[in-house]
Parts: sequence; structure tokens; C-alpha cells
Amino acid sequence: MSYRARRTITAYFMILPAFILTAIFVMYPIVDSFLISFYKWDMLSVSKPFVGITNYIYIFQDPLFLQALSNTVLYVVSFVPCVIALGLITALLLNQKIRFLTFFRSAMFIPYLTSLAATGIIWQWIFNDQFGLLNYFLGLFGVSAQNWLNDPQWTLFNMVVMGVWQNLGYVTVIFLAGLQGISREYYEAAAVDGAAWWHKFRMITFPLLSPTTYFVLILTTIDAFKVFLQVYVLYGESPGPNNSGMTLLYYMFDKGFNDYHMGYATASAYVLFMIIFIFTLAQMTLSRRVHYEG
Amino acid sequence: MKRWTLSITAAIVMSSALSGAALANTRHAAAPVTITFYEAMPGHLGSTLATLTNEFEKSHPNITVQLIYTGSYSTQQQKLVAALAANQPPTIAQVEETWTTEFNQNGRLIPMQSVLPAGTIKDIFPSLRADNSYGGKLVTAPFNRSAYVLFYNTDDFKAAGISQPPRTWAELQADASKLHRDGHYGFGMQANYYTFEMFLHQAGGTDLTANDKRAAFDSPAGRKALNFMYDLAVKDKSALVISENAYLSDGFNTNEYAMDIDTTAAMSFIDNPATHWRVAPLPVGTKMAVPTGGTNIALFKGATPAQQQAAGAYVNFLISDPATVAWAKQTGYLPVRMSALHSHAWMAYIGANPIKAVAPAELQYAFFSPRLAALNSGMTSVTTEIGDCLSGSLSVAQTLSKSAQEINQALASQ
Amino acid sequence: MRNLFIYIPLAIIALFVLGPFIWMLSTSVKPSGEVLSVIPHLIPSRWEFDNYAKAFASSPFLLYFWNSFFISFVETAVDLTIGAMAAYAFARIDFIGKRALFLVLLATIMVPGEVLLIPNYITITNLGWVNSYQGLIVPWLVSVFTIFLMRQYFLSLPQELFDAAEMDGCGPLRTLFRIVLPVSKPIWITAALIKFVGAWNSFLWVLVVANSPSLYTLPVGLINFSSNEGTVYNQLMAAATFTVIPLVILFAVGQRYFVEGIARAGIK
Repeated sequence: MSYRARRTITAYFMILPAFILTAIFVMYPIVDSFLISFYKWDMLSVSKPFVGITNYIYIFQDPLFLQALSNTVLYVVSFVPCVIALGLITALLLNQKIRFLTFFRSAMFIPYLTSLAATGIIWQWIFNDQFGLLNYFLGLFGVSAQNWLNDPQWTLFNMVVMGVWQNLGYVTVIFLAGLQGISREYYEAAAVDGAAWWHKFRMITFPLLSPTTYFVLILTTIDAFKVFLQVYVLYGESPGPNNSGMTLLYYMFDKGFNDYHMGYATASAYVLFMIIFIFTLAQMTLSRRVHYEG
Repeated sequence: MKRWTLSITAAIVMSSALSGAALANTRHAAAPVTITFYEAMPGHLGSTLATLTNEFEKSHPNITVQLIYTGSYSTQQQKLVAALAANQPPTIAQVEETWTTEFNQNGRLIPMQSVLPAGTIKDIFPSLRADNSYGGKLVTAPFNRSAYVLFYNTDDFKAAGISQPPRTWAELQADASKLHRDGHYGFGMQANYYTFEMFLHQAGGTDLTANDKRAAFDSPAGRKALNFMYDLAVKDKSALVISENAYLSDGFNTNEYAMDIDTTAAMSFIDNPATHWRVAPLPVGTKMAVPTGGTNIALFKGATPAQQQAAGAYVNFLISDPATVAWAKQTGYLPVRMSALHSHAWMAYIGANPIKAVAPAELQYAFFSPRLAALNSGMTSVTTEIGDCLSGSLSVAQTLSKSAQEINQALASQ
Repeated sequence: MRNLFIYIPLAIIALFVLGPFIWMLSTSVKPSGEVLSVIPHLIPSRWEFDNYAKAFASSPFLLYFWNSFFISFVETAVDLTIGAMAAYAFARIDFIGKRALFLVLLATIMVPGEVLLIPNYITITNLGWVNSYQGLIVPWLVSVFTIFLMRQYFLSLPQELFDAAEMDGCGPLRTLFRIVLPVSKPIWITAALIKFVGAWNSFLWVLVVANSPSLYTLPVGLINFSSNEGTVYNQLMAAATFTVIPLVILFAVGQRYFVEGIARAGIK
């Protein structure tokens, strides 16, 4: 037996437990629901006629799906840059020698730990037009009250704010870790040259941090595409005024559990999957090029 | 001494248990049977249900009822659908009407008619019985049902010099304007399908045509209903439109508005000591029409004959006079049968608690939403249009014709 | 002076992050009539610590704490063990089909988890695991995220470490458990915390699979404060507070490693 064949057997043996479990509880359901996307099935009846790509045609003709698609993409392109920028700034601030460092770091994480059942309600109150904290604060500065939760034009804003709030700590810590991985020597050399802060950031920090940025970008993008629970809790199990908070995953959930249309639900899930896949692939290719050029 | 009594008691219990077991062998009906019940009754409601269930088990020692708490109605539905998809339904479960239609069409239910005594069925409040029947057969049994009433803040009424709650739309509109002052509204409402539906029925209209094929609300009655909402919210600005995600009772509790129309089940959440309130029958439009809330109990195929009998006995107990009255006293829900509503116990109770008397008296005017799951997506769209209408971006006529189109589309897609 | 430019933005960010949490704490000690008020106020007129006692008594929370802890602990321990083995193979062994297998695993992250609910419930039913710890735990024993995270870290370890192990005649398993894992403390603590939090807060699966209170976990205790008609806000906030405390402690202890852990994984 060749060396490589022996290594292959060893490797497969090590992967096997993880693979078996993933195959049963992740891959099988994924394939199973992919097949369901070609059937008309209400989950209750034994009859399950094959309908080809009808479900896909239906959802692409459904204005609600198209709205969900555009809402989701808008959310991703607004949320991802916001959370990455704010996370990076926070990490840069926390990377200084300051007091209460442990406090600040731990504080950043609290939203990630706390149950959405409670924080969802708190955010409803913050955005409440009558007694909400946000309107109260704006009122102190003479800004007129907004109807945050009932006015569709604010929905994206609300979702992004709540999303950033939840994920900021997570993103910050990854950046912080990346920053601490950059050797001090680079900065010391720059200090000798008398480089300005911005110059140091542009020439040293940012390029050396790019693998971390890439990691964060891929993970937050995948997560952002799957936005659902935020809307669900913030708008009390509804997709927001005028469906302004309807997202792809919300659409899938709605079609499956409210309309008993597993075919539409799974078809929309696979459209979502394909979009994420293409986005991730594009990001990988793009960042590889950036990486080589840098 | 004490131990002595204990062991005597033990001996008695033992021997009676033994003779019970002996009896069970000869009498088939006493064989032990367990039934499962998916319920979504949180907190105090859940413990009240558990108490009633214990009482039932005491009187039926061979039956065990396993209460399976599933959270909210939406998680209940998800768990139920998963269980049905896996062919492992519970014996019984709380269900909303649209689910019943879906389950019933797929042949997943055993009609309650076949396990409940005819006397009980006949005694169920007629409008509730109709809402639970399909093709003249009682499919589900009403359980935690509530009706909508007008909540009003007595302090606000006194301050505005109004002596009694409004009885008609015109009075409601006039009072709302009188009660409206800076930052405090006369009336609170949600701009959704259900609010419109209520006014529609009060204006003498219906959701759908008689055969349930098309929307029927793009009509004079529909215009009247939507105009009324428009007048309150936009023209008079005396009503506060609250979002779908908020509970109407919360704004009433904090006195953001002086009146709202809400279910009796919301009563227990109005706990602000500074808010003094009462309830009144819904104001009359062209006629009186009252929406209801809550769920019914369904029995699922897959239950053994013994379980079916046990489920029948249990449901029959839950809606028996003493149980349905006890349930109504402890919660904001209503007794679901006529004999209970006329029982001495209930009469005595509402004598002492007049706010609980309003809703049962309204039950004869109850109307029910179409029991079609297909309508869900249409209702969501209509809610959107009504929101647009009340924010001034769609006219009443446009809203109605667009909404009717959406409902027709939703009905046609099935 | 320079520090002002650090502390002021940090304070603003901390206010944003902690603000909602502080409101949650404040609500948890308010009397019920005061929970919603038109002018927001943080300090209750009367501190109602009784809310905590009432909330705690409303469900068998001690049992739920135990279930949450047990389920999260088992899932985390197994996930780390088999995840580390798979990650090691993907990072350090050159074998046939490696790239393809890894891509398949990665792609599963992109499929929304909600898709898995019904098929997995049917599988659990066929296995006879409804209403059992197996049913609650087994589907979540492996997370691809853990494998991905650990793989990234193992990739960044110096080759000398592995060469030395091979010279000593260590097989891959021995190398992993005796040499690699001890020097990878940061990453497995990181992965463990993330997995643990996920399991602690998981909700829908527990509600769908469990049929008796003896298997319910903390999030089920939390929904018990809300109904279709209203919510007991102060008790809900009290319960949310006492259910998050163990996690906060875990994080405060683990955060030092947590930072170190992701640092390496992000590099490759």
C-alpha cells in the first residue's frame, strides 16, 4: 500500500465520525429538501405530485419573493460594511493600552449572549414611537419623533442597527485577535520613520489585517443573507409594515409554516443557497486577487 | 400513633387499588390509557389548565393526560405540523380554525362529533358550534374562546365629561374626538386586516362571497368600514394607529389612548394601578358584529379507540359546566356552552364581576373569519394596503379594489 | 488628551452595546404598572426584586438550568473531540478527495438551518428518539463551523511540531491529542464557548422534540411569560437576566483565550 493511500485511510478514519453525523443530520435533509423543491407537498398529505421546476417559476413570479430578495440584498450590503467598519474601529480602540480593558471587551459580548426573546422586546421599546428611548434622545436634540416601527422607510435601518448591536462584539473580537497577531516591529520601524497614524494604518495595519478581514467578510456575509429572527422578534412575528422586513428566509418560513407549501419554501431556500454560494465564491476570487496584488 | 394510621390508610388504599385492578380485568373500560395534549397556554393559563386536568385525572383514575406545552400558537403550529409530517401526532391539540381546515381536508382529524355526547354538542353556544363544524359535523371543540369588547378608561371619560361608553359608531367617533388631547388619543387600533374585517361585518358586509371563491368587501359596506377607520385615524386624528407587533392592551395600560377594542383575554394584562377602566359591548355600526379569539381542540387520526374515548371524556370534562366556568373565572376566556352561561355559579360570578358579563352577552353577535389557510398571504397584503390607506398614500377606493384583487389571487392560487 | 479620543468613542460604543441590556436590567426590577411609561425612566420608583423570585417560581427553572447545562456540555464536548479529529485531517494530512470533501462540508454552512427542521424531526421519529436526550443532542453533535475554525488554526501551527511528533513515532491521533491540542488551548476554548452559547440558547428544536417538562431548557422557560394577548415584561426580563448570568461568567473567564484563539485562525 502506498504512503498516500495509507494516509488517506487514516484521514478518512479521523473524518468518519464527523462525516457520518453531518451526513445524517445535515446533508441528507439538505438533499431531501432539495428534492422536495420539485414537488407540491403540504407536509400533511401522502400525495406529493412531482411538478418539475414549477415551484421555482412560481416564486420568481411572486412579487413578495422579489421584494424579499431585494430586501435581503439591501440588508446584506448595508449591514456587512457597517458591522465590519464599526467592528474594526472598536478593535483599534480596544487595542490601545487603556484602563477597564477587560470590562470593555466583556461588555461587547453581552448582546451575543442574551436571549433574543428578551432583547427583541427591548428593541421594540427603543423604537417605539410613543415612549421609545430613541425618540426621547432625539427629542433632547430637538429632532422630531419618527414612527420607527410603523414606517416602512425605517425598517432596513432598524434591522441593521439591531444586527450590528448583536454581532458587533463577535466581529470586534476577531479583529482584535488579528491586530494582536501583527508584530510590533513593523510599527516600531514606522515610528522611526515618523509616519503619521493614518499612514501607519494604511501601510501596515490594513494590509496585514486583510486575511482577518477576509475571514470576517465571508462569515458575516453568509450570516447576513440568513437574516430572519431579528425581523421576527422586532416586528412581533410579522414581516414589518408593507412587508418591508420580508427577507428570503422569512419568505421560506412563511411559505412553509403559514401556507403549508413546502415546495415553495424549499425552492426559495435553494435560491437563497445559490445566491450565498455565488457571493462567497465571488468574494473568495476577489480577495485572492487583492491578496496577490498586495 | 401517626405511623399506625398511615399504615392503615396504606392498607385501605392498597386493597382498593387491588380490587380496582381486579375490576379493571373484568371491565375493559378501566384499562389504563394515556393521551397526549399539545397546548400553548403559558404562565397562569397553563397552571389553570394543569389544575383542571388533575381534577379530571382524579375522577378518571385510568386516564392519564400528558400536557405538552409548546410555547406560542406559532410554535405550537410548527411542532404540530412536524409531528403530523412524521405521522406521530398527539392525541389532541389546541388548533386555530385555518389549521383545522387544512388538517381536516387532508383527513388527519377524527371529528369530535364521534366522541362527545350529543347532549354536550347541542349545548355548545350556537355560533361557536358553527365555527367548529364542517359539513354539519362538529370537527373540533371550542376551548379557550374569547370575544372582543370595548375597553374604556373611566378617568378619561370623566375628565372629558362623557357619562357613558359609546354605543354606536357615531358616538365612538364623537367620543374619540372629545377624548383626544395633545399626545393622548381617544382610540387605539391596529391597521390590519382583522380591524377592517370587524368594521366590515359591523357595516353589514362579509369577507368573501357565499361560495368562498371571491372577495366580497369591495362593496358599500367595505367602503363604509374603511372610511370609518380613515376618519378616525386621518381626518379626525383622534385614533392612534399602533403597529402589528404591539399589544393593544399595552397602550391602553399606559393610557396612550382612552379606548380600544380588544379581546377579553387581554384583561389580565391591564395591571397599571393608575389606569381605571371598564368594558362595554362593541359599538354598533349598521349592526352588531363581534370578533372572537382563541383556539379549539382537535382529535387526531392515529389515536387508538381507547384513546379516542379517553379524549372524548377529557374534552367533555373541560367544557363541562363546572370546568368551563372555573376556566372562565381564572382566565379572560368565556364559558363555551349555554347551560354554563345560565348556571347559578356563573350568574353569581358575573354579579360580583360585571366586567366579565359583557362578552358572553355579545356572543350571539359573533362572526368568524373565513377558515382558509389560503387567505393568509392575501390578508398579509391587505394589511399592507390598509396601512398605506391610513398613512394617506392610497385612497379608500383604491385600497379596496387592490385588496380585493389580492384576496382573489390568494384564493385562486389554491 | 490623546486618550480622550479613545475613551469618548469607546464610551459611545459601550453605551450603544450595553444600553438595551441596562434597560432590560432596569425593567426586571420595576413594578408592573411602571414597565411601559411614556417618558422613559431607568430608576424604578420602587425596586421590585420580588420579580426575580416570581419569575424563578413560574417554571421549574432549576431543572431547566440542569437540562441546558447537560445538553450544552455534551454537545460541546463531543463536537470538540470529533471536530478536532476532522480538522486535523483536513489541515495536516494530504489525502485523496480532501478538497472536494472540505468544500462539501463548507457548503452546508450556507444552507439555512430552518430547512433541516422537518426532515430531521422525521429522522428522529424513525429512530424512536422523540422526547429523549438523544433526540435533543445527537443532531447537534457536530458543527461544521468548529471544524472550519480548528482547521484554520491547525494550518497555522509550525511544521516542526509535526515533524518532531513523527520522529517520536506518534500516529495522527496521538499527535493530535498529545501534542497539538495542548498547544491549541485558545482555539478549542473559543470553539467551545461559541458552541456552548449556541446550545444554551437553542429553542425551536427543543420545543419540537421534547414532549415533557423534564426535557425542557431555559429558552422554553422564557417564552412562558408571553401569550397572544400580553406579556409579563418585568418577570421575563428577570428570567432573561438570570439565564444569561452563567454565560457571562463563562465568557469573563474564557475571553482571554477567546481573543488569542481567533487570532491564529484568522491568519491563514
